[in-house]
Amino acid sequence: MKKYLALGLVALLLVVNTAGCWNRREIETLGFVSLIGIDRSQGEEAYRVTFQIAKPAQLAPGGAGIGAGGAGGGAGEAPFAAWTMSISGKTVFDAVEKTREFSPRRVFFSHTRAVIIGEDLAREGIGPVLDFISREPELRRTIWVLVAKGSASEVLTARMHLERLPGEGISSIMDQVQRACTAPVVRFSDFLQCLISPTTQAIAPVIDFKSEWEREGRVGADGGTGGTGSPGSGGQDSQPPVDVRVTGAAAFRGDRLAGWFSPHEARGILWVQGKVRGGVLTTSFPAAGVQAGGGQSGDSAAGQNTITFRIIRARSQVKAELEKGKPVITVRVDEEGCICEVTTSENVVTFDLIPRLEKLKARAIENEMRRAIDKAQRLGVDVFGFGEAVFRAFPREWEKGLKKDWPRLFPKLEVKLAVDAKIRRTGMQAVPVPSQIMKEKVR
Amino acid sequence: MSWLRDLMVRMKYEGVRQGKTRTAREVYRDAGELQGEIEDWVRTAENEREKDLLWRLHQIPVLKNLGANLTAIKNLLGNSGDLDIRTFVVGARNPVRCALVFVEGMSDKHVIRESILKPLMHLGRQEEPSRGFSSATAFEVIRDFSLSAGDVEEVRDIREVLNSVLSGDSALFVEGEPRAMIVASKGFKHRSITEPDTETIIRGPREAFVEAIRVNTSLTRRRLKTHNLRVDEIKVGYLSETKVAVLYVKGLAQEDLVREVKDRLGRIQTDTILDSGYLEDYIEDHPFSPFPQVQNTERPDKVAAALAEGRVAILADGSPFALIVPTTFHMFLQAPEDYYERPHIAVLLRSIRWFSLVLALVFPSFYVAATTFHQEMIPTSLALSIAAGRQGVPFPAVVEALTMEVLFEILREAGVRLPRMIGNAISIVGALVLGQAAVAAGIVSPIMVIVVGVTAIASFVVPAFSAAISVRILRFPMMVFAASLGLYGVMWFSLLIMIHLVSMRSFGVAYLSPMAPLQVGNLKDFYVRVPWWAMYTRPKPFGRRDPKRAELRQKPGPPTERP
Amino acid sequence: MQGEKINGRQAFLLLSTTIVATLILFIPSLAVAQGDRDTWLGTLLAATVGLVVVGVVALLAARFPDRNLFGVSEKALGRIITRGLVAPLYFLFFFYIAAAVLRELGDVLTASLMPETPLLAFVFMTSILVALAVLGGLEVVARLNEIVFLILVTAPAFILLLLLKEVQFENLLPALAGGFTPVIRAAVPQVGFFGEVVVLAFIIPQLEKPRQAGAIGAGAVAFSALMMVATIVWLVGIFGVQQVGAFLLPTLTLGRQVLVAGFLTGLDPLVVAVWVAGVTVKASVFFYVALLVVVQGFGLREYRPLVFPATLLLVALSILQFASTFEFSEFVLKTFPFWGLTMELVLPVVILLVAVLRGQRGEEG
Repeated sequence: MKKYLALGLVALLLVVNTAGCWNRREIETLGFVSLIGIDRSQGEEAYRVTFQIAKPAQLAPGGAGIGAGGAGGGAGEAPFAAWTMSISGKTVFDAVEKTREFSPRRVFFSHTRAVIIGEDLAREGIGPVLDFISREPELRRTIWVLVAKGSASEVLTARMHLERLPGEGISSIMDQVQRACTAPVVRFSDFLQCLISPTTQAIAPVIDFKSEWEREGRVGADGGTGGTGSPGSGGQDSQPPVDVRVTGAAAFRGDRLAGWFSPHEARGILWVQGKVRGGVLTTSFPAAGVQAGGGQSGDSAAGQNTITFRIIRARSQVKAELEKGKPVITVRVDEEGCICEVTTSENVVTFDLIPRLEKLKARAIENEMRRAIDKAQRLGVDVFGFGEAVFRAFPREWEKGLKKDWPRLFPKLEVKLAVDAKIRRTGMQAVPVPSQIMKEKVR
Repeated sequence: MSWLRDLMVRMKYEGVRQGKTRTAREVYRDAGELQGEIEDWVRTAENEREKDLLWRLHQIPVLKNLGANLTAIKNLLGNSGDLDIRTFVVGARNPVRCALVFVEGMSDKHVIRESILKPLMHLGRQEEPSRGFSSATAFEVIRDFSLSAGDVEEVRDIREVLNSVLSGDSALFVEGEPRAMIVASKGFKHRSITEPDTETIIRGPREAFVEAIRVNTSLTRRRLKTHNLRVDEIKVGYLSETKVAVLYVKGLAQEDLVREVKDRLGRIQTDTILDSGYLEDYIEDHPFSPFPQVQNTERPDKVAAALAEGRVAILADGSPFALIVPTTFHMFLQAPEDYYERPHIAVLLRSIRWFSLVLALVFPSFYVAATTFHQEMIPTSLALSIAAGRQGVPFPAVVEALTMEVLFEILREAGVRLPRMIGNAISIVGALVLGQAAVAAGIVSPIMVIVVGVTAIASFVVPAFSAAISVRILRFPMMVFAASLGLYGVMWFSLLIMIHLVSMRSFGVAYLSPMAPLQVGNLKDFYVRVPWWAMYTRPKPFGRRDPKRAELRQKPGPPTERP
Repeated sequence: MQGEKINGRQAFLLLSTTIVATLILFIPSLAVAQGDRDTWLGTLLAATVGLVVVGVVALLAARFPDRNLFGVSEKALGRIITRGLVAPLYFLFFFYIAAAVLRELGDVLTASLMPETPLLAFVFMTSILVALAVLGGLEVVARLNEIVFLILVTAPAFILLLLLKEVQFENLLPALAGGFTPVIRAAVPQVGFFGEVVVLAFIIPQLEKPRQAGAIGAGAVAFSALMMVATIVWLVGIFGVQQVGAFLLPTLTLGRQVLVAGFLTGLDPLVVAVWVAGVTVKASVFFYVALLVVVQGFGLREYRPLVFPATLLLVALSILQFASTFEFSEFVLKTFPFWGLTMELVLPVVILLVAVLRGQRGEEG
């Protein structure tokens, strides 16, 4: 009896194993999508989705692996190892399904790095698109979200230097941007969290071509951008590489694009959020010497008399108070940095002048924050989370009335800034070199 | 009707034993007839077992007549070429005829010559022994006064004579005595004590057991000179009559354990025991489990250590491998180095061993599962490399994996059989070249070669060959499950193995202790090896009778710090 | 049952796994949907209720160290009521839970990792393991758990550690913004799970030291509460309250957020693998207790012959229980708390009360 039971069990197990494997997919049948771009399109097929799929054969280390080495590519640049295709569909998922009609590989999203949203789609509203991203098990919530100036598919068809796979390229850029802090770095989970939040508005970094020339140059080589589902952009391999850059921020009101923030304004937002981790502040030092004339960040006259600071770390604290029933926000920023470039003709890097320099820096930071807050208030988007801060500090008052009135209150909100900047190091050179050179000649 | 036969034979016995004088012819005839009867019965017995029993049950007495005895022996051994019978006369005044029976090659000629024949011949030439040497007292005189051999025993049954003679001892018959003297003279050639082949170490003793059980017991005794070390012997196998020794330390090993071991050994009914491995099959708790439950070793120091813990060792004559029971799983991952070197290296090595064990078992399956079901687990660039490598490979990942693993097992087995000269060359170079060639031909992907290589190397790390075997076997079904149900399949199979391991017991001890059930006190030798000065208790299940092994507070240090 | 004993530590680990295995699987999002920021307080509340159950069990163990709940009921309520009413009720309860646990595992796997595989495959395969474990007896299950527990705890701890940087604890403030109502609403789905510690009452005679039952149960509830609170805090801290409520598999999503050294991502299959082990143990425990109840109810001596047919029933029940994941969620949210509380708290209290009022005591084990 026991024997038959055992045999039966083995037979069943065999059945499961041999007839099974329902979910099997051989790795080489997958099309690894490294980037997704979503645009708005005309007509019934409202969404145009662009996928960038990696071409493994050209990515194999050790040359092209099997077979003869060297697959095309000119002038020492690595061959472009991705295939970009655009599809239009009624919904995003519809477009995904349509790829089955012509793609030899099944699109696979687990290694997708970023989703790029086209400008027109952003203006119309991105809510419908986000459901797919959230629901699809293959897509992770750690992917970057970016907004493209113009169309996402254009940006996706750009071919980048150095990296063979744009997904990696953009990922690397995002890592760098996190340091440079001229654009926010937003993951999908954070993006969604802001969108869902009742008061806070979402921001996303902007991706664009480095210059119009690049856009032109690229557009010319673009083959076929029909709106009916034909795959676009052949001939990508022969394009010269173009540069895209990620800088500045796009702010949303609800799920619609509300406005653009320049790089410095974007950093202003980051200052308030306490997410600045690096980056550079350039201030001009008044030539006449000792007056602390208030630094202006961003402009300097032909690189003269400037002091450039590098930001090492910064923290921020947002406090909400109620004055006569009206909320007042205080933002306090603590920053530490070091001097990394000085072009003044006098040696201003002395022990006594350090506090002055620090104040210079603080003012520059304040400036950035103020510009960001002003713009946000003009646009009426609370990208900073001030609403949340008020809610946390005064939950009762919030419930009672402030919550309803917030859209009205925010643009007129009084925001006090308090910045404490410190200078810790000066690099390998104590005295500014230009100041040394002058002195020599006088003698 | 057999009882009648029985009765008849017994009556015949009696007649012969009462020593009624008969003619030599009659006696011869009687002996022959007796032999015939027994041979009849042996022939008509239904199987070997019955024959064995018959052989065991019936007596064949030593007769008084020397000639009859010798004839009986010659008949029973069938005129073997190596049987030597030396008849001589002892005593000058009252000569007594004697005969010495021994097997050439099994017995030590020197002992026979110097310790048996010489003194007896000498005795014969003496005018002395005033002890009253006559045919009546010859036996006692010889036994007590003349023989200079070591061990002398008296027997009355020809079967015992044969057993001893066939083991290398000599049998001395004296005319007119219904008993024979067995004189110890074992001197067969055996392998000398060399280094162990299967358990080489860098530091520590290098003696290994040989095939002769007497040498082996001596090797053990040298290490445990306590009078409590017991060597209990039994004979197993009716054709081989293999001496099997059960070693334990009385007062330390649990009585139940020893009894159980002897019990299981005693129940073995077979014809030959040619190696301790045979015994292992008979005494295991779970014969169908892929995991070994009995430890085997070539090293006497390992045996001694085990005995000191309260475990029991089994030695089989003819086998250089001793068995140790009870065994738990983690013992298969211990190596002697762990104990002879400082404790720090033990941690590192044991980590490597445990990790390798898991690796050898799981890695190919993991690869198959990850690349076939869960590509999201693989870092992107690696995933792309794998995909690139697999372009053009016609088989699914499973088939690739299975093929390569099977191929490797073939290579390995072949490597074992090859003569040493060619063996090394083929194993390393061959494997790599084969792998490369396969990749170039597009049959396998490059990463598969890596996987198989790593797995193979990892499987060599396990010190105990018997445990490594189980891993090698279990790899294959796991791959099948990985191929059909991905990581869930791998986990499922692992759980299956775990459930199996957890329900096993080896001679009453849970197979996975001290891990599960968790016995904190025993953990000091499980993963880390606590320094010797901290190991002052014995592992619990075995050593319960005398838990304290060493004194506390023996931690060494500079003179002022010592407690 | 058959003279097998498990020691205190094994029991503690076993109970912990039993409660935790499915508790942190998808209850967090259900709870957060109800309780918002203060869900973790709801956990504490539910755990307190669990401790009440533990108290009842401890009292039972103190008075009747040689009997399990069933035995006490026989003494207190009489054989007829026990065999006719109590036994079937508990059998149904535990069996249903065992099947639900298997179902949950299958749902998780088909939802996240392997969507095309039929549910039956997972349920069937896991049930084989459950059957084998239960055939081995409580000792085997406990020993298996000693290994499983280690992995079950290390993996989430590891993930939580790696995600520590991303947790914004401010997301949990302000506390009690909505008053106590959300706390209670969040506690409701969790209460049934913490009360599962009641299985302890059925294995009292199999503990080495029955008097330890209280400590064991309390420890298990505390540990589970800790794991649950940590999970909830992490979830809300990383994703924000609104998102979490919408997740299907919160812990899995948590696992996916992990990004180590820029390349190690997508650890969720590992998380799932660990779960399989935990769920197997939990299902084994409930299956075992269910069979125990049957055997004692019918006055049989051995439960092992029942394992094979019962397993078939288990598989069938798993598939048929719920038509979709929605039904399952509805069950967990609306039905289970009440059913659970009745069986886990109300009934044992009644039995205990009757026994006390009748002045009964058990014999020392």
